[in-house]
Amino acid sequence: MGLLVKPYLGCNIKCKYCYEGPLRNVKEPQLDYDLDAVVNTIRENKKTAPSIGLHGGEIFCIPNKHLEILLKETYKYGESVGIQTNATLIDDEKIRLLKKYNANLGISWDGPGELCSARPGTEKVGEIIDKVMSKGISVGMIIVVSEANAGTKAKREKLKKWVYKLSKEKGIDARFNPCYNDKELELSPKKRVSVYLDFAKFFLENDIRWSPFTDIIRALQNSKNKVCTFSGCDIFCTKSATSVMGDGSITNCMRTNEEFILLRDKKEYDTRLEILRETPIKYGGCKGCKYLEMCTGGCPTATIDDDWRNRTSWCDVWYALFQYFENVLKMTENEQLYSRDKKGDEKEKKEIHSHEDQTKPGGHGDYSAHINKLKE
Amino acid sequence: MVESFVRLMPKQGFQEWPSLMGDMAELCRETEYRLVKDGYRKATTLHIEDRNYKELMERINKDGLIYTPILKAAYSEGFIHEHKEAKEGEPFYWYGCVTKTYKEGQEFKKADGSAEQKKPNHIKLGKLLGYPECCIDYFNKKFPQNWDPIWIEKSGRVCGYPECNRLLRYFGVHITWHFSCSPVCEKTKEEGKKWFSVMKEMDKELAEKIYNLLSKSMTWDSYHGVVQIETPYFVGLSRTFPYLEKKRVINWEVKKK
Ligand code: SF4
Ligand code: SF4
Ligand SMILES: [Zn+2]
Repeated sequence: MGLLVKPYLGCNIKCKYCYEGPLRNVKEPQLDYDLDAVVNTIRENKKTAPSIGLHGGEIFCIPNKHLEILLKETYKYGESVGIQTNATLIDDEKIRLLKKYNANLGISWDGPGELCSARPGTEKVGEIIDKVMSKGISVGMIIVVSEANAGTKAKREKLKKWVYKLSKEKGIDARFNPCYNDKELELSPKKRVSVYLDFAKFFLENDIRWSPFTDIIRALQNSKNKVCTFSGCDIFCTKSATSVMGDGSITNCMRTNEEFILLRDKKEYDTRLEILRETPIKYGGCKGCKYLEMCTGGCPTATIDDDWRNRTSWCDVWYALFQYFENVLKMTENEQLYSRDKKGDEKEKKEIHSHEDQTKPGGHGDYSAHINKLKE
Repeated sequence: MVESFVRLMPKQGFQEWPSLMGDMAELCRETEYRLVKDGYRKATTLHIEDRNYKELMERINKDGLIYTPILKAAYSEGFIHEHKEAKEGEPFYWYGCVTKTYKEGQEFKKADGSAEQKKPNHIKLGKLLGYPECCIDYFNKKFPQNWDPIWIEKSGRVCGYPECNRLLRYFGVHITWHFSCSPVCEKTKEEGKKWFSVMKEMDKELAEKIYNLLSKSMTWDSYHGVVQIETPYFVGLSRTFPYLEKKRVINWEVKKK
């Protein structure tokens, strides 16, 4: 990521699970941004940002003449600017501007037909993707995995077919982000581990290299090149995302702002990791977890009791995936492919079993022991 | 234990608050010093670093006061809950006290105990610092249980006087300098009047801003060794006493007259 320019936080479709929804509920966004201030902030911060993206809300809600000012500004820096969009407002004029300023698109869509039911009004996005690609515009995607597109076996099969098509036929790279902003749409805790393990197997078998699965492998290999979720994100200084607001002020990743926008701290701290390292699993921490330095406790905005001082509420899924891919890497019998300290396994078993009221693991390896620990 | 730190992030539209809080803290420190100089209380603590040594010592001399160094303490970022002796070659600051007389300085040093690695005499210290007796007694009893003793039995909605509000202590902003025994401690309120009048003499506008801030609704939320305070203008964080199992939250409101 890098500099995310978000002059307008409003949106034409307002998906139910959108993480900017709570802010919109407090105050309906207006097209009242100050473009000069936004452009100044881009100029001041470009040097330290690896990339620039235009975001929203829905960025294509702003008038084309304003869009062009921003595209012109970002074009100056030489790289292709990324635009994150729901794609529903893309028309010929927008395509012309995208081509002119060599922009690429990140399209958020959860699949065709019933799969996109959490994103009302996006039914035709499939056709739009084909159209922009036919014009030579590069497309990446964000797919949010929720009850709407992965809640039943039938939906998951449809989703897999579509993913296969996107990756193998269209050559699209995408992120398979979990939905964790809406209790109804978020995959239920009961099924999400098996659903994600099933997807992991599918991605592996078909050699589809998408996030978060590739990130988990990279994390196991101690790579720094991994998604923010596993990078020890500081909720008050999200280094993966610097968001520029319509008044030119700078905030963090927008997932961190719920009822108000908090401006970004200039300095990054490791406080959350310090807490998680020392806090036992049963009190919301990660103490003794063998994947802690790779997982880093997950995204600080998707946490137990909605408190960043706890680990992620998606711990069960991440732990299962770390273990799954670790086993895959172990099968290569090439220790260089997975650099985790193998003493960690023993250490964690000790931590888990040493707890007095620990439910005995059911003989399914350390994953079930970890899950039991989470249930305590 | 989490490392010592302090952070303060403004909400959108309130960009000026981090620097305003710096100015407020400076005024609070000045008030603390002035009250000793004016003879209203016997002692105050003072940290002296290399960079401000000359300037502070000259000022103390000029004001006819005494600085008693107590401990060469290890430098740490953020709000300091305890002073640890600096090791050879480590960055340090002097922790000490300012008094009117040499005798009082020595009394303070003895009561503090840290120079001789002895337990502090909180009652004696509290008296030298001019704190109300009820609050000295509260601190003496509660500090061994919780080293950040903000009304430790209280949680949820708490109504009190702005003079008693110490929820912003980590940022150095308060009217009185002690832990009040209760959010409605009358003695603290009385003391606060004196402190506030000295503050106003020095900078009326800023003093009133401090009073208004301490009167605003705010949330103090302590969990896993980090306290998060939200005011209408900013969110601040600091290291604190670690509540492990359950968080403690105070929703502060000012007591209506
Ligand atoms: S808050 Fe979560 S989504 Fe945002 S940058 Fe941090 S880890 Fe990533
Ligand atoms: S897998 Fe769970 S316990 Fe382990 S580091 Fe991640 S969130 Fe913490
Ligand atoms: Zn009292």
